[in-house]
Amino acid sequence: MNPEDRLSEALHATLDTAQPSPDLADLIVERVSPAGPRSVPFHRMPRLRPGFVALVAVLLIAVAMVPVAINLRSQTDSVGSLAHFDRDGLAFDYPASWRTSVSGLDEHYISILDFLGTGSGLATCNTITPGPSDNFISGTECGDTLTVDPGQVVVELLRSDGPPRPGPIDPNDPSALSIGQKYVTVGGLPAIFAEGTDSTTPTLDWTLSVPEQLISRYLIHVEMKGPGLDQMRAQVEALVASVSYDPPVPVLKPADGPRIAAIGLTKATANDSSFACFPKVPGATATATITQFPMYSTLSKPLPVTCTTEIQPFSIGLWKMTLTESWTAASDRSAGSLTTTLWLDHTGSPGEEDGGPGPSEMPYWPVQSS
Amino acid sequence: MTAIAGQLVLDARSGDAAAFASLVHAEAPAAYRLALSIVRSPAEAEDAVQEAFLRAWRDLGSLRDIELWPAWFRRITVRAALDQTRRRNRVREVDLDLAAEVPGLEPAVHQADRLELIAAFDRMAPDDRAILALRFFADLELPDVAAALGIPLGTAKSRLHRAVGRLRAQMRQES
Repeated sequence: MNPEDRLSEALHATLDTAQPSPDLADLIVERVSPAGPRSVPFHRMPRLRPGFVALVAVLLIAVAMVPVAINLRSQTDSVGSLAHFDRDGLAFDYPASWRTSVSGLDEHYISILDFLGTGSGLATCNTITPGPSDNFISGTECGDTLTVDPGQVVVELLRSDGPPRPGPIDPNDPSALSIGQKYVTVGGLPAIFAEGTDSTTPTLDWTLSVPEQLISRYLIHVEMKGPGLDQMRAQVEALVASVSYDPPVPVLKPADGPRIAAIGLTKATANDSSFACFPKVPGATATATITQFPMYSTLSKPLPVTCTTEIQPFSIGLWKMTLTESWTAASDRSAGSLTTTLWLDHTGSPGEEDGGPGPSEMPYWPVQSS
Repeated sequence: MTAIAGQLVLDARSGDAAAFASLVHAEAPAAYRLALSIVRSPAEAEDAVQEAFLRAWRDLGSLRDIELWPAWFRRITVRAALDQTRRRNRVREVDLDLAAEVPGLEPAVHQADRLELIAAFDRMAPDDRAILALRFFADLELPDVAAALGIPLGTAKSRLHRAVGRLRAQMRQES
């Protein structure tokens, strides 16, 4: 059985009988406005569901707590003075009276950089002990705990380096936003802001771009508890308003586009000969007979194509190079085109690449490599 | 889509909350399984399903052809599940060492093979899991996979091709 069939069998075996909590549908219906389809606030459901209770019980009883190294240091400056944060490329000012708790917990693809504020945060990993029906022999579960007492605020700083691979934050794409989110600008770069709806513990979340990093994000999560919410919110908003990036975002000049395109394509072709088709001069066209598209396996038959190259600067300090291969119709294929996006840094070095718009039917579908 | 489901979508689109509630009860289990295949956490799958239905209720007025409800809602569910993987979670990482074999009715070798596959699948990026789950769990044809992800067919093909390659690489790594 090939991996695809085995995966299908395994997914069906493990998921076909999976059922949500019995009250899930009722909880959803409760959220639906009787006034008709319209925007409604999103509320997270309680995180403990019946199917999860056994695991949580095991966690509470048998878990061995393994605190991750935390270095607490108090600031004793006078009220109103500011301290400066500069770590992992993110810089900002914050009230010097706040405590900072350096975490450094590095989970898969996400790092908790720091906790700041008048409350506190703790990042831990717990050992999981399986129950009798669990199909694992051991495991760990990592997470964080914020302690926010009345009149306190905690700011949690995280950096996510993917996966997932969401692509750049693009304010021109409103469909990428979840309910309650909106695009803002932080430190001159696109960002996403969302505000929680819990009135007792308001939360604020910013998702920031990372300069020259397509799939990375800085995450600023804030929890507060009154009294004094207005002042704490003003402090947090001042923090966000002071954000800058270190090193700063490279300034890309459109006039440099042709030079960068030539560098990028030379380097890309050295790694993958399927890029050889694309002209090094943006706007020019070239013809070739190819046996492979970028990121594909070998085509079942050579394909004559016309190749074009476009390049433009993107807000996070990367060049976006759009490479298109188009072909005409023949007896065994329809006309079509395939676009590949190649992201280049300010020196022209290729980074992420992705498939862009493609045809309804690929010609000479590539041979599957075993 | 059955005539009854079609009528429910039609009524819900015109603002009938009771019809939408019936739709929620009918479709939540399948939506949950699809979300679970992507987020791999029961609690987060339920969050994703909740958000998917809220988005559907909010945007139902924009659904012109009720026959498109299954594909339209599937796309919303996939988007909500992927958003869930990107959202900050209280517990972000669970790392399990799977048993080599588990007593049961099935042959041990078969069970171990499945566990190895699922472990490899779990370690893949959510975007890869989404396209593999749509193709090999939801059993959708590629044009429907592309529609569910909101990407062109050619892109879906290339992404699926790469995801299968990465799955194979993960399996080699697991073994």
